[in-house]
Amino acid sequence: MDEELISKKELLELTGISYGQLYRWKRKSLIPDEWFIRKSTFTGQETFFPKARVLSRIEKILSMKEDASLDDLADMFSPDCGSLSLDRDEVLRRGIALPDIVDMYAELSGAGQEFGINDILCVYLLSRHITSGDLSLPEGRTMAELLKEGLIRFHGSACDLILARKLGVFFCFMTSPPCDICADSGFRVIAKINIPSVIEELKLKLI
Amino acid sequence: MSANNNKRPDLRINGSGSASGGAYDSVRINGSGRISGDVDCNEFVVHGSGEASGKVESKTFKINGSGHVVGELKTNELKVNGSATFHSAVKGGNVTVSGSADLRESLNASTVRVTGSIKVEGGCSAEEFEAQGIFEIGGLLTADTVDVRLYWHKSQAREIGGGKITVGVGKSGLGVLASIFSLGAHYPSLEAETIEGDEITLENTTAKVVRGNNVTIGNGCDIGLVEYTGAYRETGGAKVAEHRKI
Repeated sequence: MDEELISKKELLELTGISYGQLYRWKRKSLIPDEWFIRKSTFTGQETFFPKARVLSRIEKILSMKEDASLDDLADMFSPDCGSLSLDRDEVLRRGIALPDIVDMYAELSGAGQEFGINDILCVYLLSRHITSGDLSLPEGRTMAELLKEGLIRFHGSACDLILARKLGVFFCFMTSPPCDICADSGFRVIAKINIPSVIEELKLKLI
Repeated sequence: MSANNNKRPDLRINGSGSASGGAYDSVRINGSGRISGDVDCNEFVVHGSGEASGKVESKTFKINGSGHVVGELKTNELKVNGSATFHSAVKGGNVTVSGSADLRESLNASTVRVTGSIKVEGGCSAEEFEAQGIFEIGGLLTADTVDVRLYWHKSQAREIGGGKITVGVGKSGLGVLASIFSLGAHYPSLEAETIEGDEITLENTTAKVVRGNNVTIGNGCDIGLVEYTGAYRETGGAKVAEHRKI
């Protein structure tokens, strides 16, 4: 999976931020360490970034830093958000998921009325992919079970959720990047979901 | 740390001894002591020599003499008077080193003040980094302000990045003696691959690339390439192969 890279110099030119800002954001983990990719060039070592991701991140930081401190932003971008929880009505009110799906999930997981971040993530994805027609209800159940397991296993670190189908049979799995997959030709990927970016989307809905 | 601190016992080692870790209010070693296992406390003080074989989490951590921590250290205030070795990552609020500190992993702090020497094998990040003496950073040294006075001999960092970066040569009180020393190997200098910041002022620095907004290259520098966006100044005693405004 080759992403287009951007050099640090180009990045600063393009976004108009300074070295001081960039390093400050790096220290606050607003820009994750793994996005700083060191490569040898003819002028020595240079740092590169995954272009699309770093540009959208910087745009977000710049648009939000007026009314949030760097620490708040850091919390928002961090894939770890253990303590957060909402009750059922709040989940519905914030438009995270449809009522039917929330209830189905509550029954399945025994989550009751309190939803932790993993539960919220799960109902959000279920709602998104069931309404878009990617998944049927029973398939959604399979995904929910996997997510429950996987989010514990990859606790707080970056991971991807892959939904696939072969000959109409649904299956799903989670990977922790960097990870390339090579599958046979009958394998159809329905969606590849990057969990940290979903959490980021969710946090925007939550604040 | 638990809110109910008044229930925690104190740990005292006077003379020579060892103890096991746990939750304490205050841990004091007077003489020589060894603590095995993880420690969670409000205050950790060593007078003499102390060693902790596990992780340490303490509001304040102070070594007068010599200290050794094998596990990670997390503290709001770290003071080393003498020498200390940390085998794992250190997270400290305000870090002061008078003497020498050897960190085998990384240092993450809000302020770092060093008089003497500090060695960090990984990266070192802080809001403020101030050093008088020698430092050796294996990875990236990053801080909002990096203010360095070089003494005695060579300091190095793979990369330095931040807001305001100032590197100067310290003035020695020894006068003639210092100038005799400086003839030999005792030449205070800094070596880095790249230095990037908004305001950069350098002396006695060797670097491949320096990039910044306003850059001043002073005496004793040897720089491969300077790229700047604002103002550029170079003194007579500097050697710069190439500089360009971008």
